[in-house]
Amino acid sequence: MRYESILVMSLILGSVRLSFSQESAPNISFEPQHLLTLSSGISSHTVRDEMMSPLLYSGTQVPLAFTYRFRGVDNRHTVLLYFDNTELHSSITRSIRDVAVSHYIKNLHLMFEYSFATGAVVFENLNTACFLGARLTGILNLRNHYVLQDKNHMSAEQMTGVGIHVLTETALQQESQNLLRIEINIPCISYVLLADRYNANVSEKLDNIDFDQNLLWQLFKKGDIVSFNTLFEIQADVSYSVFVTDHIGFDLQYRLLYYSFAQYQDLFHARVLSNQFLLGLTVRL
Amino acid sequence: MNTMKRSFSILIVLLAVYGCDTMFFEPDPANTPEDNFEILWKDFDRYYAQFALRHIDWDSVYAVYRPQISPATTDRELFAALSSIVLGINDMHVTLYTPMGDVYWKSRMPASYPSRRIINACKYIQCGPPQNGLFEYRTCQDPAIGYMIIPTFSGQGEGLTMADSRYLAIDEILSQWRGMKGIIIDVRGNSGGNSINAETVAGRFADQTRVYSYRRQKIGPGKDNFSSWKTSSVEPKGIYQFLKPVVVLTSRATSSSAEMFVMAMQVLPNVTIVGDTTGGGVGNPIFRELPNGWAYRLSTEMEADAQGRIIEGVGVFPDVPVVTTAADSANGIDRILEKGIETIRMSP
Repeated sequence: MRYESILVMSLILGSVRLSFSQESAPNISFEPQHLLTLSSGISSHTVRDEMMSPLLYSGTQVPLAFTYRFRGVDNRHTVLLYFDNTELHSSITRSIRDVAVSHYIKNLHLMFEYSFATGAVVFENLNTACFLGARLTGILNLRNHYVLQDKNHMSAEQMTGVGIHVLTETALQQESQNLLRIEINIPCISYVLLADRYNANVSEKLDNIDFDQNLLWQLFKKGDIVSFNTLFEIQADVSYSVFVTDHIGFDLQYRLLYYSFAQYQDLFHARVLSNQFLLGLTVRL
Repeated sequence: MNTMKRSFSILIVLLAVYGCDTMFFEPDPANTPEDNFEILWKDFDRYYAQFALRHIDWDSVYAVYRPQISPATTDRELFAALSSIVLGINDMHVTLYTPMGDVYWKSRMPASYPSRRIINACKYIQCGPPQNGLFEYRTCQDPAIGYMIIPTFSGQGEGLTMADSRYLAIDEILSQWRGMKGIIIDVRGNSGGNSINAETVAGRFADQTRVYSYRRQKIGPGKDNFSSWKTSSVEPKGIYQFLKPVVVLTSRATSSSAEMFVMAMQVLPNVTIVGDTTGGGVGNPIFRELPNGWAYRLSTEMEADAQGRIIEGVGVFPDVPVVTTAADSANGIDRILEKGIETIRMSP
């Protein structure tokens, strides 16, 4: 699966490289900029959570995302907040209205990111600057699986990871502020919550939690530090920014997020694939 | 023009990736009688935690039933085979849900089992109009003794909050009952729900943090892949803890999270458990489903009380064993409640 993911990324990179290789050599502006973008569009989630079902569940939803970007002379900073709440169906989902014969999942997906990258190399003949850095990513994927009437159970992953972040920016025309960005992030070390609870119904079993105290802090203390043996995750973004005035522009973004998480070896894998097409309004301060 | 070509080529790649679910996921299993049987059998093989405890040779179950399943097997035949398997496990948390009906092992309660509910209520408590809250609470005929029925521990909070705030009503009740000599809590008909709610209530009677149970969970596909034993504790909760005598009434119908409540209360020095042995199943079940739409649940852990006694299939033993017989019931006598009241009265 990892090799397939890498293959996809290679295809994207290769395609973009071929697309722009014959362009003349414009200059990319690196004047410091603050960019705020509010985005929405369509997201598609596909989940196979072995704790819940042997079946694939998938669905689409309208997400909401907010991005702040800082484009410095040499550095890039990005903060992203993302939210969607998707209803996922499987091959045996019949009618959402009739819970007695339905099988579906309500999937809450929250994401927070902070990326930092510094200029590594410029390919002038490709009009492309390449940045290397790190990304801090926090993801909450909370699933409520409705099996039968009055029967539902929950499962969740909450992971906060630090990973390698690669960013390329390509200008389409000389002196243009319209940029094509490609970003790839692979978390290397993550802190995962609900650690020893994953094989149980998490809605019923969170021991030693004092509900009179700060719940988030107590949950946070129950995590595990994991790496590739437990969690494999990849995020890939392709986005294109077009400015119609000096301060107003649009941002078209595609994101692929995939992770495979297993709390215990060979038991209860959760695999989640998220595709997001977002169109955003960008304000340059 | 070049820009158009570039954009188009990127769009093609993105659309290809967008529809690439099959690259990341294997296809769903087929909806055939054999696949449905295999999935259920393998799920139990990997996730079920109590085979050894219940002396079940799961491989022999496969050897007996698998030859009965073929592509020609009808839904009713498959239902008969899976029902037989489920019933043979003898676990109250193992259930098969189908359009042809739900199949689950019923506890060892006889058909007529008067111990599960209050009998001739107005003889023992001060009756009044129905109460709307989660708890039903009144005073006994002796107004120095409070009586409370907790019918369920079901319900959960919003979002990531696991506790159901309705159970915090216990604080208001106890503040009214501060002057009581003692309290009787009736969970004879409580079939469980959310153990966090059980701990929420139990904490209102705790003087200090005490371990009340041990559990271990299935953490791998092998039959012996269990976690180490972990503890569950009850600790003081709420603004006020009632530390005077408390009696908890139990029966065979007291099960699942209600048994955790009983175990939590049993370790408290001011609490006496009166009644029948509880149902005997904590199990922490998970739900599963088959490609044909049927669903089932199975236990993923086993639980022991504070003394290390496994309660799965056994139950929690009361401190004072009492049952209400059919003859008692016919004569309007609630033997268990009478013993509870007597226990409070006799307490110092």
